Amino acid sequence: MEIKMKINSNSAYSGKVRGTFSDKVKDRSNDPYFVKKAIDAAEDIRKHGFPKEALEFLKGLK
Amino acid sequence: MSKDYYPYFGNASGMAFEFESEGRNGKIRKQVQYTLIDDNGVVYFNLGFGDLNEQTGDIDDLSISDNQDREKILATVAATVLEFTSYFPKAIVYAKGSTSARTRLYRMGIAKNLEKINKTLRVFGRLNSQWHEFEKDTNYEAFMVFRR
Repeated sequence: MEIKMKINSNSAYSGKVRGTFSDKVKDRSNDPYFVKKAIDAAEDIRKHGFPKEALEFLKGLK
Repeated sequence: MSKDYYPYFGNASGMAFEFESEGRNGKIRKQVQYTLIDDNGVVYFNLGFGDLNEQTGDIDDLSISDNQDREKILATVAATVLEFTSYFPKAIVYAKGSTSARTRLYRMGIAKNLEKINKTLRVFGRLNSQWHEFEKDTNYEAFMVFRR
């Protein structure tokens, strides 16, 4: 089975910052280092899975 | 959580945070980045953390700043986890250090702030491919957190 994975730029999940806000802080989700970390994380999760409690948490969101 | 953490700043997305470590080697900018992963419909976030290279603007996770402020840095990262999940209460956050030594540091940071973190978050550690509720003094391979 083909697994499709997206590492998003986060823009679709923008939220509100209630703490100290600075427009000087850049979103670096597309920085090669963070992209690689995210890909590694996804591979890790595929290999080892989630805690069952996390799966229940995810189910509760649907 | 220890009150001894650095003031940090977040951007408008709520997924990027920055702070400055201060110590004997001067000021070093640090970035915490939450990256969305949508793996075939399963959505979660990776916690990324590293030094911001002032010259290149790139992140360097393997640098050793040696500012003798490890606990303060870890407490600051933990504070961003709490803040991030307040913006995204349905988020699951995955964290693993770039090296086993860094992962041990994450474990120490969680353990040090566990009482405060546990009020809000459920924390799990992975050991030998099995996930367990986080316990102090266990050398986990990776961590996962989400809101209670």
